[in-house]
Amino acid sequence: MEIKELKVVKREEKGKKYARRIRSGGGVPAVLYGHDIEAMPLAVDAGEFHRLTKGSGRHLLIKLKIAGVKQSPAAIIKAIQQDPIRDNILHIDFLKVKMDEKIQSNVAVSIVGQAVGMAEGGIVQHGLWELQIEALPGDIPKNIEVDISALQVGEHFKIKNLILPADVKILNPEDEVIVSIIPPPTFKEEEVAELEEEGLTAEPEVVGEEAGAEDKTETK
Amino acid sequence: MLIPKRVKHRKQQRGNRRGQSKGGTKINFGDYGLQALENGWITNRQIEAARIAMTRYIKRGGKVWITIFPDKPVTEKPAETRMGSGKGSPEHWVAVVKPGRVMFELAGVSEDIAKEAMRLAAHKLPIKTRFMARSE
Repeated sequence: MEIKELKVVKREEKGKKYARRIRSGGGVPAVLYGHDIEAMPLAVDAGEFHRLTKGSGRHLLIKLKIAGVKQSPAAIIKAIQQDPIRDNILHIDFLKVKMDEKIQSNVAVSIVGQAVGMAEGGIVQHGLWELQIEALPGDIPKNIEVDISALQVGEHFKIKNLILPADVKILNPEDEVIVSIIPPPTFKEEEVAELEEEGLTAEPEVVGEEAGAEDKTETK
Repeated sequence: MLIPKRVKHRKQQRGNRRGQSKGGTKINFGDYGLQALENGWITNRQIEAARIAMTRYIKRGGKVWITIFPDKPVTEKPAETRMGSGKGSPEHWVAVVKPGRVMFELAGVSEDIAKEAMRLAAHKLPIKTRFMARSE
């Protein structure tokens, strides 16, 4: 996992009023926590954080340079709250890590190669986009590569098929499907017309009412 | 067309559509999505029209997910009826959509094709939308 540095400021004020003030000033409220420290509210420069994560993604190890604090703890990004429409970052959770203590983290799956089944019209369907792993912070890979080049239509790539470094343990069940090559869906005009007619006439069953009971009440 | 199999009550009150979507704001299945920027009621006919517009454009080679479901019945009174004498009869089904909701997802096609397919689908919907791609 890459190690990068980020300048942060310790913040004293808490609550939405101050959080909004930080956001309007181009910052992002954040918090640092871990199992041997008390939660520490922080403020991060939004532009700097964006530059840090651009290209390398959000799975990285960060050395937090806290203004006024001698130590610079290593942390991972545990969670990011984001505005769903504007995509602005609203809040960041940093988890303090020890370099000699194993942690659990999510790592993105990246697909390598063109499946044989894709030439026959097959579509790559992800079962999982991220895998949960346990490893030392320094050993966490940036992403886990899945080579699908041998997959035919209808075949799956499962977690048990992965070849991983010895120091990385996957926590997902072994039988879970990461990627499958599904056959292309067939689309016929007649089917659509039939479905439309069905939808227009059909009415759902009402729980607790017998069939035909509705008609009687309507005619009263 | 999408319609519930079983319902607890035939008719519902209108409810509200204030605020932003609480869930379903990220792409979960495919590579590309169509996100609502306004609130509104999307009827099952509109969902079907959007789906058909998309699948016709991408032809073979793509997969479409519909991530909203029209589970709310909308009643209407017959034309030229005097007011009163109870609520009208259920006429169609709608999905309540709030800003931020990803309504359709697409996979197995290039970004250009996905963008155009989503544009065609968006024309079938009564609200403003935006195209989005899966971010890391």
